[in-house]
Amino acid sequence: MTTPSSSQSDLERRAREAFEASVEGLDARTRSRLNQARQAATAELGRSRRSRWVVWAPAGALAAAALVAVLLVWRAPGTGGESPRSQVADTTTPGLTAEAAPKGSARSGVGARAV
Amino acid sequence: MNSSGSLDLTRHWRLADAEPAACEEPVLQQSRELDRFLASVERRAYRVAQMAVRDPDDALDIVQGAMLRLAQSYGQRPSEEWKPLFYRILYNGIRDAQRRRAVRSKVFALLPGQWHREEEEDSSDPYEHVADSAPEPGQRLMAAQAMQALEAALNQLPARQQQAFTLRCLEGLDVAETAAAMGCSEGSVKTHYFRALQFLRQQLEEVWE
Repeated sequence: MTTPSSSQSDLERRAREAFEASVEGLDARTRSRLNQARQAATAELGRSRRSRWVVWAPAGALAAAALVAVLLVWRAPGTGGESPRSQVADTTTPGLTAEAAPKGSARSGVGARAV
Repeated sequence: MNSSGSLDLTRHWRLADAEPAACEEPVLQQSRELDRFLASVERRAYRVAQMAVRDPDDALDIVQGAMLRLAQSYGQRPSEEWKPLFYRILYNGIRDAQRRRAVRSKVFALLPGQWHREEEEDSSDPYEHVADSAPEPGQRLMAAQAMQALEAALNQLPARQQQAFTLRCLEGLDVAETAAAMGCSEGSVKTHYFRALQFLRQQLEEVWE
């Protein structure tokens, strides 16, 4: 690609000047309507930002509440690091253990004694 | 609760009242910045759209749509990103308008008789008769003729070359910004721009001498 010649840069300058002149020559009615459009767009920025906040704030609060609830339900039975079943087993008397134990485990106990 | 407790509560309420105002401050600042940016590009964008679609009302609609879209979708982005984004939206709007016009003209061509679009001029607009602070009539005429020749030559260019020339030369975007606005590589921008310059030089040399 060749470097831009002086006529090209002159062309660019003249094109820019002609364009600037046409921009400056815009009539008052068009300027007024552009101004109104700009005001509407600027107002829209604040509105969209506010509406986004309005939508996301309750959703975020709901998600946080749900997370807290799940954590509470999950953690509540296991306070102290032991399951409730082990706590129940600790309270049973030694004599009741064989009856309370499942059939399979009792049989295996007998087999173990025979060996 | 004792008196100090009630004082703390009052202070808390005051802070809660002040919070929305603190939240509003960045929004206001962003709005002001957006307003300044749009004010700097609106007229030029309008002329670009008008050159492309050749209809003042369509051009206004396109610019208004681009402004709204920028505010809605990209208003939170850093202001340095606005210019290429705005021109990208603007050119999408121009392309849509050109497509709509092509479809409309095809449909109207099938219909019997001639359809004339009635201009809905709002004669009650108070700004219509306000005097412009434009240059002298002679200068204005010369500038208008130069612009007319440029527009005619630009309209003969392929769309991408036209876009590259308008953004680079008339809007003053650099190569990277133009590439972002056109959605292509910087190399493509350079090629399109170079070809556009070559063609325009051929077309305008005689007219502008």
